[in-house]
Amino acid sequence: MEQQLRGLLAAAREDNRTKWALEWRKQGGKVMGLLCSYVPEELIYAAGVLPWHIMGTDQANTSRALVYRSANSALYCNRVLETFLAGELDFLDGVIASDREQDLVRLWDVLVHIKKVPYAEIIHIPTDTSPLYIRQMAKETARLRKSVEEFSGKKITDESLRQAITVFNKMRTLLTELYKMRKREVPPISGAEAMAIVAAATVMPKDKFNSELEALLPYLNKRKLAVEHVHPRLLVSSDTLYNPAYIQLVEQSGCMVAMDDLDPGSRYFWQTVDTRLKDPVYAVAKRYLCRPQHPRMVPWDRQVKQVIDWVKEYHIDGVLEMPELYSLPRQFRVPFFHTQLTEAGIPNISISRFHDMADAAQLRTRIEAFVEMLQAKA
Amino acid sequence: MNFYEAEIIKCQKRIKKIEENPDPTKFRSNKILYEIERDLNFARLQAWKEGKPFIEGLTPPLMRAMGFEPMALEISADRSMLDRSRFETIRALGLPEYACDRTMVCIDMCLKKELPPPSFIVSHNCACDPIKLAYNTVGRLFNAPVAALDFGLEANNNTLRYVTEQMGEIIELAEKKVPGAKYDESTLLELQEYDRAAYGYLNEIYQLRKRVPCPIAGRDAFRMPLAPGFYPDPKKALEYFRIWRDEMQERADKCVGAVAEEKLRVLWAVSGPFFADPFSILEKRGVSIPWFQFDMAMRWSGVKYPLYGDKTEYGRKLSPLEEEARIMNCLSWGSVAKRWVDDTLFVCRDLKIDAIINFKQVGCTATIGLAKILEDCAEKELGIPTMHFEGRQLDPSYFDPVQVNTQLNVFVDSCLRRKGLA
Repeated sequence: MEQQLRGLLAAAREDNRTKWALEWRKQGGKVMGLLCSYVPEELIYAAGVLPWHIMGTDQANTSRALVYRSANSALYCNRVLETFLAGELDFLDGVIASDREQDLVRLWDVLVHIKKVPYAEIIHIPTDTSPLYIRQMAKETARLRKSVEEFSGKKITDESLRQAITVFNKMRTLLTELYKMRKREVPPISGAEAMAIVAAATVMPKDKFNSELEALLPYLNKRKLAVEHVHPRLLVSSDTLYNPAYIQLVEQSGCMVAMDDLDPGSRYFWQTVDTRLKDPVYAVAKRYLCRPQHPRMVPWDRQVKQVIDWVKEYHIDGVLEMPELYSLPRQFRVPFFHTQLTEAGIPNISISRFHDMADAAQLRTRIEAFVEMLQAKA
Repeated sequence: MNFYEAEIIKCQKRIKKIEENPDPTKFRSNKILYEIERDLNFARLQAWKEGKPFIEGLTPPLMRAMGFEPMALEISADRSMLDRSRFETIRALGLPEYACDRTMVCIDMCLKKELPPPSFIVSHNCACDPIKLAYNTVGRLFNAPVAALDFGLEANNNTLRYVTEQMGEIIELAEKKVPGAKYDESTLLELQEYDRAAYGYLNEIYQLRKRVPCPIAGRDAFRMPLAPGFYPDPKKALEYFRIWRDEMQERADKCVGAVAEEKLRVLWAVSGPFFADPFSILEKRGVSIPWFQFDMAMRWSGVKYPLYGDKTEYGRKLSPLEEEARIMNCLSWGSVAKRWVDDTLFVCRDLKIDAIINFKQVGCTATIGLAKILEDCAEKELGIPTMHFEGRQLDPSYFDPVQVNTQLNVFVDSCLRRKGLA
């Protein structure tokens, strides 16, 4: 079973992740590249298309991308564009983005301009979650449904959408089960492993992922993690952090990453679609909009409250925020996040990072200092 | 000294200078402009002293109709004293000092009490991420209620309804949370009338820009007067627009353009270094700058996009609140690239533009990613070249006058060669 776990952990690694998409295509299926986890994947699944999250290269050189973008703009977007321009994503049949942040819209604009993909769609994500915004999200989801139907040539019926919801809810439930195990004094998986498993979910066919994880859960429940440090327990908060090596680096600094506020991470799967709601499109829209939020959403106070709740639930000693350089929504939120957590009595630090591990040594030094402070406090 | 006090002194000095020794090359209407600005700042100062509520994030007529004083955060930053220590303060707070400098500077101005604390903030995404995030930041720093205002990726009846509904909810929330806030539709209607008239004058001025030679000097192409609805005396503000229009007409009729022998017509896009005058370099070479393209430019001048009272854009007459939603719904660069490119090329065709100078404002998430797309489309569809010029609006450390001079002259040389004029 440990071997099976290793396989799942490696599923979204840079040298591995495209195999799922290529295999899908070999079987005659289409693959939709997703640039944002706010895009309702159930629609794509219901159309018989593989939803496949685009993570961007970890290679530092983005010279092709910089013809169209600035070096001082969202690094994830630069990396993704580089990957496209290098021809590494030519297998994609389409791409869907959102207006999660303006840099992402501009990435989408370039992909359309250079005609890099046969199908490109973008959806508006409201920045708050009142009923008015949920209704608007439902309208966007309905519009996307029509667009995906045209793209795939397959009608997305309410029934097929409900079936997709069942599959995705199962994924979310399985991951929630896994994350509950992280509340233990000695969790059965490390923070890096948790992140790698969630990342696997974003690139694998969901049925396959579900069956793999479901088979592994009993093993994981009993697994004894060989780990040097179980304290202090940290929660890591960031966006577009796709490389588990970052979490590994944090844990090698003398702590346990017991919980995350990450995408991919808790924010990818937290909260299921409410199947009691009559309209499946509305239900999907509500779930995607109302799940734990990205800093681009206006209610920063609710985002902090979610983190504070997790801190309590997962017995966290400190919060490590790792904003990606030049990604403005999180960078602007840093002072508010810090002040609110501090007022709540939660030790915290914000350390900016690159997309790749170029700054590993400096990061390690600063994280070690934070961890030492937490150890001294304990 | 706070910002309003500094502005009052600045306006008073300028008025005095005009009265004592008017410069015949400058607009006579500048005097009335400084008077309305002076009076605006007196009124804002008074409102601040009396504890009246200040707001940011909606259109000025709507903000006033709700009983608030509009803050104009980033516009205040545009006019602030250059001070690099502001970026150090921003950095020390953990904010991204590499973001658009006007959005960073306005946060610092609030922290230093150069501007009043807000009573209510609307964090909108109509223009760009830095503005939306800066507003949210200011609101949180001062514990003001923060409401979201979203714009979709297209302007249509669905998004108009969406924006209007949000505005309605924002009005309700403001009335609930802020003592003294009360929406008065008759005030909105009155201010809309003044703004409609002002935008009409701007449209007339736009028509003049089509003339050869262009009667607008490069620096004046940057002139962005605030609409009358912003001012405590909208009637006088409207008078400024009328006099300015008359002066522009007079210059056009007498062929008194910025350049004696116009060889090139250049569109300047996005923004520029507010502390410098690159336009003089261009004008010396016979280059006119008929238009400054930015997010609201075409809407305000009624170019391609109609304004108050129009029934064609949405196929029906709009309510007063819908009229405000129309103004903000999908600005040129607040949406996908197609809109910005289509709008810019429209103006290029209309004004017979020969080349584009695109200012790549550091940290501008709205437009930096559009630069190459605009360049490619301008070349392909209109056969006109684009020069990109990086910098910051308020920070001279990014500006090397020698390099800029060379860059502009080389570009002009190449444009003239393309036109067969070199």
